[in-house]
Amino acid sequence: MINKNIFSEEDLNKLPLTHRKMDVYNTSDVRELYETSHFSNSTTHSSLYYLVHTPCKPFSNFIINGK
Amino acid sequence: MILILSYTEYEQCTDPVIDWLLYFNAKFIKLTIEDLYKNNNVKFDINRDKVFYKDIDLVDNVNVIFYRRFVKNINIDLENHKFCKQLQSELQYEVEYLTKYFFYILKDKLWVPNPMNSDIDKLTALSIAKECGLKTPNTIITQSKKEAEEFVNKYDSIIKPIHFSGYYISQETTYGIFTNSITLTDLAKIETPFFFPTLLQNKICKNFEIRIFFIGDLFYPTAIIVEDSNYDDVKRNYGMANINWIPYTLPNDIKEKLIKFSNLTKINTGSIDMMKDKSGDFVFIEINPVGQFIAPSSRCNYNVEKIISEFLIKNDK
Repeated sequence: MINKNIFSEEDLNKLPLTHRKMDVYNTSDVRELYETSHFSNSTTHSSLYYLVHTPCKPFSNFIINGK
Repeated sequence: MILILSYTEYEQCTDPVIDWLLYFNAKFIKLTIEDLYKNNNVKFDINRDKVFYKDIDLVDNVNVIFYRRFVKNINIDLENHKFCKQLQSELQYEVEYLTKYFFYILKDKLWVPNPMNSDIDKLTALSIAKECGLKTPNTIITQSKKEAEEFVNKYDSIIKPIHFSGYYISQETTYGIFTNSITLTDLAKIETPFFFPTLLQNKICKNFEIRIFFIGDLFYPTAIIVEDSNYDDVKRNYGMANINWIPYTLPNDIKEKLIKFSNLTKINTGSIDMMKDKSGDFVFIEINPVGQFIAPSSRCNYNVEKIISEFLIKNDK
């Protein structure tokens, strides 16, 4: 990580001071950007499926085992 | 019945709770914002103030609501339309105002937490924390370079967003705003006397930070120990070898003040950030009612997700 800003001095004068000190990363290194899509197998959570489905172990185990 | 309001996709603090509800064979439904505008699964009966998911009357059947990050940007494919931006904005408001009514119909249920109270801002939280007798950092919001210089001259200072800042993604490069120190040298580089309102706070000379998950009057504090505690934002240390998460017991007087804070804000669950400073005082930093708790839960063996599921089941009556 390095400190750098992406805005011009003119823009920065109109922004909060926080925007003068932005951290810069390689996008591929920001893991949380990918976790959601990685685990999106669990979209079945949004249905009545869960009223009748009673697995004997936590659902996340299925995801982990299925990797 | 338990109603869960969260995202369609994986949400790290919703799905583990669902795992336990499944394990306990609890009766529940999960709804997402998409259910309100996409699938025709949710129907409103305005004359009777009723809402149905498929054929289930939610007003009659739901007792307790686990509220996570339900409201988000809606996703309607209008890319090629010249009024796309305006439509997206207006339809977003339509859904958000429909959501308000949805919450109103279910207002008498036990919400964990209640969204009406859980969008508390950092400054109000600091004010109420102070009212409860908790120590808080000196804080200003300023647009003035001169005022910022006076503050920084008086205290070691940090800056952070008043509410939130997400990642700025530009292809292979991503930019993020975290808590940062600010010095007189930094301020000297600013060419104009005024800027957009900015939150400045005195930097706490800390021994360690404490992340406290609570639900009702149950508290699960975690001390986050980093070898060099002079950092600005502990999030930069996540994933590094020099960070330790340790179960911690709060002094009774601090716990009582936090219970008072919870009562005054009407927030019945959330994650509170505190710091223990070098003189041994506990300093309240902020509260996030829908904060992520998986890291302290798993590293301290608190099993917070199990505790939440048990709380929901106990109150489902």
